[in-house]
Amino acid sequence: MMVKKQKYKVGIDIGGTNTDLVLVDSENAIVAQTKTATTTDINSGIKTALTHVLKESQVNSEEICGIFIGTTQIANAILQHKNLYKVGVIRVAGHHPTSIPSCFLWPQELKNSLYVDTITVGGGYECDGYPITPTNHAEIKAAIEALVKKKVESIAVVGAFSSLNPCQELLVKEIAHQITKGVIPISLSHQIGGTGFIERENSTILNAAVKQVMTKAFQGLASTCSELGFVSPMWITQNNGSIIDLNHAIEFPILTISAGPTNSFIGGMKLAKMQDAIVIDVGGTSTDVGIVRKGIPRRCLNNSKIGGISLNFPMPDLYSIGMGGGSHIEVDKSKVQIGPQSCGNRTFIDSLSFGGKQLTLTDIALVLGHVTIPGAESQRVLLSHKGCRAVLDEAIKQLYALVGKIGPEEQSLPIIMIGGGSSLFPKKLLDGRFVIPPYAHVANAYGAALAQISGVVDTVVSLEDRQEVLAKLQQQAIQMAIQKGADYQTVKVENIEIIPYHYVPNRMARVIIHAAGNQPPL
Amino acid sequence: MKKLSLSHLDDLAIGAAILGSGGGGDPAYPYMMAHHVMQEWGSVSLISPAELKPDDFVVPIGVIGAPLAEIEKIESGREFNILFEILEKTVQKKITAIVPFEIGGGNAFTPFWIAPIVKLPVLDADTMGRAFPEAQMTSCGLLGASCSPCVITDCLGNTAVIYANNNLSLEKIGRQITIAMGSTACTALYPLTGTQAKKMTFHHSITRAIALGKAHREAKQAGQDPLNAILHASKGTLVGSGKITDIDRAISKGFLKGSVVVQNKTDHIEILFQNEFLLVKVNGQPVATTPDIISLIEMETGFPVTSESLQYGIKVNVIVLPSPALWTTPEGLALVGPRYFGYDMDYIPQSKPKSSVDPVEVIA
Repeated sequence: MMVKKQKYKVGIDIGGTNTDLVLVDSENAIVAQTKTATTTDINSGIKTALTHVLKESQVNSEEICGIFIGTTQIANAILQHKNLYKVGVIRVAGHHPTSIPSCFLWPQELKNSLYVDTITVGGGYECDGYPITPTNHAEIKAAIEALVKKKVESIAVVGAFSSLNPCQELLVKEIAHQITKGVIPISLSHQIGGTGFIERENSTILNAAVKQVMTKAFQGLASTCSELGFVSPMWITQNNGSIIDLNHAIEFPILTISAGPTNSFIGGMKLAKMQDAIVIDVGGTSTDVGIVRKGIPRRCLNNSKIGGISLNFPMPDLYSIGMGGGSHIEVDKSKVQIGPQSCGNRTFIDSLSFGGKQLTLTDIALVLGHVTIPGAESQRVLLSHKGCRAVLDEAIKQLYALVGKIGPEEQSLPIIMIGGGSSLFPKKLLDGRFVIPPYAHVANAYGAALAQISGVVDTVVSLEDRQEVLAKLQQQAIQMAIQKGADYQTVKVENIEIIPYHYVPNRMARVIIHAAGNQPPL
Repeated sequence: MKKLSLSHLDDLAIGAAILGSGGGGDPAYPYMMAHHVMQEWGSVSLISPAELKPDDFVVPIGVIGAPLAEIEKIESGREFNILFEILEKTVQKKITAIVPFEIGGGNAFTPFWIAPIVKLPVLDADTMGRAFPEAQMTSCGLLGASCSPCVITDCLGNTAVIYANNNLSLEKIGRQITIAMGSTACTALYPLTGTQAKKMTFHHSITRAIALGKAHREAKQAGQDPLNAILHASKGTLVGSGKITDIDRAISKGFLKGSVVVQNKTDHIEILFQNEFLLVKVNGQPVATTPDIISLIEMETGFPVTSESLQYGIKVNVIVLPSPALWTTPEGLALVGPRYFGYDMDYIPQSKPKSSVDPVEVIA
């Protein structure tokens, strides 16, 4: 008799503070889980967690059929201005627009930490596909050489209407590769997508800036996995809750920027077995609040923003503050300052209670007895009980303000609290209106393990035969998702976006169709 | 004379978007441009129509074409420098003030990204009282001012000067020129004397739009639903609320035409648009028409939604704001009433605004 072997998958969430890992069986039940401090090299933390979980569950590495990774590394790098490349921008726009400069209205500190200069070259397209002005090989070459001279480490290329025609951006990349011998990474705006020159430029600049973060994070992960005997593919989760392969994630790190919250909202909701809820994720560095409706995190209506910058691809609509378990606490005579600096992965080393020198929110919760952590000595905290109360009051005030940002209509929804920091707050918070589901502290890793597989068609077509054309494109998106491995029985079109172009004959429109389905049954 | 500074731009953005009646383009890019210019060049002098002298030379300006083209091929920032030079040379007069030709949508900001550079004051007025899609739909056109000379300049500096036989001809010719310029260009039209500008514009549009945005902001800051503040500040009414369940959009003769359905438990609300929202039907029955201002306000955020940024599934309040009285005269309705846009019906005047309505009750 054939005994069908049980198959498992691994969900990993690499946060700024902790690396969480869950082992999930074919019924999507959690078999084993662990939480370990995120290591500077990322890789050794994952290795520790994987080894631990395999040992605990007695599952063989060959029985794992997929590793699904979500990470907030990219978002954290941007929010903390860390490990960012110096970026030079090439605008391909023959009309030399100066009406809105690059990085306009960005937070000054972030801009200073990554932006070098913008050089505009001839080219760009009109909405009907004609070039605004011709491109000039020598001009492009001179622009790249000028940026190289200014010691840029990464280049962002953004052309007017490049989503209609990528040729000019590709030409710039080719010339840049010749000049820099491929050493300087090039990010092209049409591959990052979206209409709206400024938002696309913002997204492309950020993509260029965070390239090394992703590369560093996953350097050596493949060899670690094969060392441990894994034969399964590795996937990285994206903003929309679906997955891309590692090479894509390294090329387009910006597409994973909000995967952390997406995973935690989906994971929290599945753990609480709800469909509609407010989800609060208290991490080590930040706290996010979002809304899940019918099992899907609500998306931003118009502009997505991160760190105060407008971007133009769908991201979960979330409100975020730089407050978490590792947040630095400064107490002045009259003022309490929480975060945004955080001890992150060194919270359990650098916090006062653990013999370190930094007062953190975790210290405060320890002193007030909301939480007990083995090895912590809260008597090392010299701040008075009263002082600690004041800090916690401020933290609670900020949390309430965050939840208050959710519209009046959603305020009656149940609240799910998840994340490693969810236990730091007193239980009578929010009128006791919230639930902390089992495995709340690894909800995001669980969400990653459940990520869907998607296909996206993004093209410009004539909608003269509207029904027929749309039906064909929908089929294409569905096929794409199935080819990537989605279960054909669950694939459906999630979203259709049609952007008609005014004044252009034949009803030309940009059509973006997103289809997604579950991973195949194990 | 008032000084208008950076701090007023946020309020203007909200007010202008509400008055856009779903059209006029999202103010986001023009807002950034105005912000950039005022940051670099300083504040703007806003003059009241009462301050105009008879021999002033007042020029209505704006960006024309497709908003979607404008957000890809953003302005060079030098269009109006070229345009004003050519206009002054053509008519042999110095411009003394500029005024937005429409207050609805992005064009409310157009004067603010050029005035500080060319050191001209902005007249606190406009020529539409909202947003409209065509060049003949201006108060000065209706009241007999000539649209000529009209000057159109694109981002490369290409410039056309048009002396049109009549306002409709200008619309027809100007549109073809704009298409040839890449579907977005800067324009000045209906140049006015001080006397004309005083008689033929909608007064205090800019301060009114700012006041509308301010009411919205203050309600939000106080944790209240901004809907009531908007209705109160604009003497508007709530037609209904619900979720967007269908959107049909197509481009026809250069306009974004279509309809959007807002559904709640009892009512099927259909809003027809041609760039701007023009007609509201509740359960098949027309209840509001152009020239009244029809706006969709997202319930979650309280922000206005344009016809280009409609999305399935979002919940909106459908509100109607009264049109300037000039447009509801027989001559006004012939120019901008429902029949002009091909709807076979008369203008439906709005009844007096109801007292504040709780949208949550309506949607249940």
